[in-house]
Amino acid sequence: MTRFLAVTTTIVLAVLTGTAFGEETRGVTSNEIVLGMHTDLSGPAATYGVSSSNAVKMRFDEANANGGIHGRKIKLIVEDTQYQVPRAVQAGTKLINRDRIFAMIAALGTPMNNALFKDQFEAGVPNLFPLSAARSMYLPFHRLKFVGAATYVDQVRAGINYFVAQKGKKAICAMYQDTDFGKEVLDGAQMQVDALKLKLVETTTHKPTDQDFTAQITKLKGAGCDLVVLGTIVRDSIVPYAAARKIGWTDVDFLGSAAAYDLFVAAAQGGVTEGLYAMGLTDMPYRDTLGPAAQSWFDRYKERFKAEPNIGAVYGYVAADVAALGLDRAGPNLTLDSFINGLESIRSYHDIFNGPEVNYGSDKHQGANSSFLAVVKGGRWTRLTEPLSF
Amino acid sequence: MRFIFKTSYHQDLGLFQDRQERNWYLALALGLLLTPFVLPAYLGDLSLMLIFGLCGVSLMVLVGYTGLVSLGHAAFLGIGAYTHVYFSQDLALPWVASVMLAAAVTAIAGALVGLPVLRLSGLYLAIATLAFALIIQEIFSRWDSVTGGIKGKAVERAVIFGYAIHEVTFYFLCLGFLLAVLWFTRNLLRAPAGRALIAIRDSELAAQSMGVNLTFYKTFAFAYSAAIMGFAGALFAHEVGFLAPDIFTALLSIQFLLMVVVGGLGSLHGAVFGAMFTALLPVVISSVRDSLPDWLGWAFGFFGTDASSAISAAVDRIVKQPGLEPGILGLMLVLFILFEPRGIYGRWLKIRLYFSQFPLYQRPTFTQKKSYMKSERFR
Amino acid sequence: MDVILQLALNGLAVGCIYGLVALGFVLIYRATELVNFAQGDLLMLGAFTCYMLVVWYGIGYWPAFALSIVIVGLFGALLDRIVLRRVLGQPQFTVVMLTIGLGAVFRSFASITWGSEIYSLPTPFSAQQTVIAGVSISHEYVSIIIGTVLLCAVLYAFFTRTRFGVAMQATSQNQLAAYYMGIPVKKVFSLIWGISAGVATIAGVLLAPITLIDTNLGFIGLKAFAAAVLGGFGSIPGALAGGVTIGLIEMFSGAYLPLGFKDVAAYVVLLAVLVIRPQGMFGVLGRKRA
Repeated sequence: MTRFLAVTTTIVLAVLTGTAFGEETRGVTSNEIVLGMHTDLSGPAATYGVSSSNAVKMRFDEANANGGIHGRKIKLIVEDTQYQVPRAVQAGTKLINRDRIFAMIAALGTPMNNALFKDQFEAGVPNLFPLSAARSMYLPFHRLKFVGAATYVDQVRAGINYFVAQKGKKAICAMYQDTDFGKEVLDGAQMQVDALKLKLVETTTHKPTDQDFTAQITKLKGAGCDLVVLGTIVRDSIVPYAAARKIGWTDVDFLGSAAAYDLFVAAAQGGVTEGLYAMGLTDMPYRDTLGPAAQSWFDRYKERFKAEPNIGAVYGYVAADVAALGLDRAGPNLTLDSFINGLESIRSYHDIFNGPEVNYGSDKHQGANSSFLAVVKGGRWTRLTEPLSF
Repeated sequence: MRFIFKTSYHQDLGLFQDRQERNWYLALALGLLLTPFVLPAYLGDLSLMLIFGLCGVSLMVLVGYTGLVSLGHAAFLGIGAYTHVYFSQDLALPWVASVMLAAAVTAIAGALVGLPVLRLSGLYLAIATLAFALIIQEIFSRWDSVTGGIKGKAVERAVIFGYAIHEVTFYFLCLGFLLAVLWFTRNLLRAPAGRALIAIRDSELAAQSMGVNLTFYKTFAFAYSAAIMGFAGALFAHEVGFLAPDIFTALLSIQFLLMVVVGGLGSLHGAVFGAMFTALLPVVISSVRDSLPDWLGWAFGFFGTDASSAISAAVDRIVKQPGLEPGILGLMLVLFILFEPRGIYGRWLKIRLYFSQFPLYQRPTFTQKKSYMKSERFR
Repeated sequence: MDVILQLALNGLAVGCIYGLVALGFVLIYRATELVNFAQGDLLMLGAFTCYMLVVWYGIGYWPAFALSIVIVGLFGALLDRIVLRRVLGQPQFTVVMLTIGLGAVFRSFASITWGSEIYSLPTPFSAQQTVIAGVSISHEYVSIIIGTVLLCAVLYAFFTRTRFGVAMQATSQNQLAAYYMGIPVKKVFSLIWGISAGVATIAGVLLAPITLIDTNLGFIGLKAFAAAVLGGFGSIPGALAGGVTIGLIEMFSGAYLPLGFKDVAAYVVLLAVLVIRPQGMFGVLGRKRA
């Protein structure tokens, strides 16, 4: 009984000490802006969650070191969802109700984001640049949804268009993982294939944790595909591609989405991913190919976090940069409306990683929708084309 | 020390032993009723705790009282959730009817799972239930028209008899369900059916010799447990607001088992304690994680500001490590099993006994005799 | 025809992986009648240890392999000595929950020590293959099959032919009687845990080139558990047979059955076998007499 009381009192005290008194706009005081982030720090997508949260933290710390934005320091609260929806709901309720955040930034996971939308938008908390490229992140259009770059559907459609138009591919197939992300890629492939009056010859699916893909590759080879669209992430991009080349299937190309555009995929042991294609959004953070500003960022990241940044860190940094720009353009009187106006007034923004030009508007909350084609050469990603569209 | 003198059969029939016990529970009920007004920011977590309480009762009846270990109960939660959402949203049935139907469907599913596995025991049963759960999870992913497939399904707010249910009323709804299920289960366990279940747990052979129909009671245990999970599933759907097949994984089932073991196997109190532990520990961890570095910094401020900020930074780094939370949960489970195998409820009983028998409390009252491992293959 | 051969070969290899992990389960069950749900996580720790020795400390592959078996084996024995000895005599289910908790602690430890990224283990036979009669035989797969068969043979001989092995079977059936017979029960338990952890390490290191190392590597344990049950818990050739069966079923159902059946097929077969023969394929059904 006493223990229960002690714990309750502790919680209540903690809550009270965490609340700011008498602010009109949630999450904003005269000297602080509170932003929240729910991401996967210890589950299956932890490689992206950890690096993106680090990069966002770094960007906001740099802003704070320069005196904050209009005199307000940014406080970032990160919650771990372990890539599970109930935990994401718990984390989201905590951020929205107890921490009273102003906005959610770089949240990771399509179902996690989807689950929180209803409560989040009811409370008037905008969702900025989530680390998910599903269409539901900005469709149907909502004033509080902001997305930075091309969705998986946009990427895949652009890629298929290129291969059919430039390389004359006819038999398109899809291999996708049995998750909402994989389904998005499948939908994108289906949409483009329909638009080009072709047919999806064969599709296979697999669980993200599967080890062996011989069965799927056999099925696809038997159907005579010449382009296989991959709805896969890191491990399940490497293994099936390697398996296909091992059984001597060389007259086919494999195209992944931006989810396969990862350092690890290119650098796979034994050069097994040589010749794998993927759609990219920004430069891959190989230090020697980055511009000078990005190189300096690379060094700062490495010094602070004792690890090299990956593409997740790039996405996180760009998200935080655009958010900071929006906060700046909102002016000293920061409210939800002034912030949204600030974001919507962004034109011709270029990030330091050679990403596409980003424009927003009052009915355009997707910054850019182009992506480029890249291929693995010599263990590294090499950019092949200019931004593609469909 | 209190001695309870029994003067009529009513005292045996009643739910509470005596007036004092009843008054304690009434006080607890009052506390629960007032909680939404005292801690409004935690309502979501408290509702989740009540829903987990329902899951705990369900699993307790099966594992704690009948001795059948099920590694696939999250699948029943899923069936309850999806059926309820399908009936109330797609078929637009009234809420109450939808929940009842969901529980009925889940009960039937439970019976269908229970029937083939009657001859199995121990691990084999656990694996069979796991296999069923994985098959059911696959059905969730494939049956697009009903469950929305892999993409998932959004769940609207509950509307009962025309009233929209918001946070506070939802909390009371969950509380009402939990109390009703607890009351029903408590009475079930005192009835011949409950005694039959306990007999099956202790020794199947002996139970059979006493005339307990194993087939019927094992299936009944599965069906009853699944029905409660069905109720919990319907409420869970509203609480989480979004259903996807990868919520109802084997990991969630194992978490339920964990809940039941930490709470205290073999008692309904244990189910509730376990639910409190599972639902509230992440909340406590995240609040502590946010405020511990500051508190320790303040506490060590007596040693100077340098020490204080150094300690604060070091603790901050340790506490913000990703991947710490499941480790803490696992560690607590291990510590409980090592040092308090009766779970939280067991510890609570010891504390209560200590205070009621003060100063004559004896430690050996609860000590378990040192026993040797006996093979359970030849029970 | 060579498609079927290719599928069969790969199914065999995948099945051997499951069989190896299942072997660890069976070993501990054979001796102590406990199910160790942390077996998958021990596999993960073994893979990480080998990775650490090879990549962080620059030791060669084979010495690192041997060293990591020893390290993790010792760790397993210590685990038994410190943690599991205290819970002897408690119902089986409680101890199973204990191992589940331990598994979570191992995962957490791994993510703190080595990080949450995906890592790759450099091996002498990465990505090489030989093509015989139109069937591509990957060296990694061959190493797995050979390793598993060897290990199974050694352990089977150990359990049935040596005195120590028979002593282990005795302790699992009736501990008190084993004490009476002068068997050093505590040492036996520690040894069996050590061996099981070693087997898990071997499985982890053999698996690492194929699935890449990360903290969720241990979830293969759940499927391997199903494989062990299919083969009849408590039987070493059964573990292997169960694993291979599940591997083959997965492979063929993935290639020939419609979408989504790949994952379920193995479990449907498992259920069918359990319903017909509750003790699994090679298991022994115990019944109390009188």
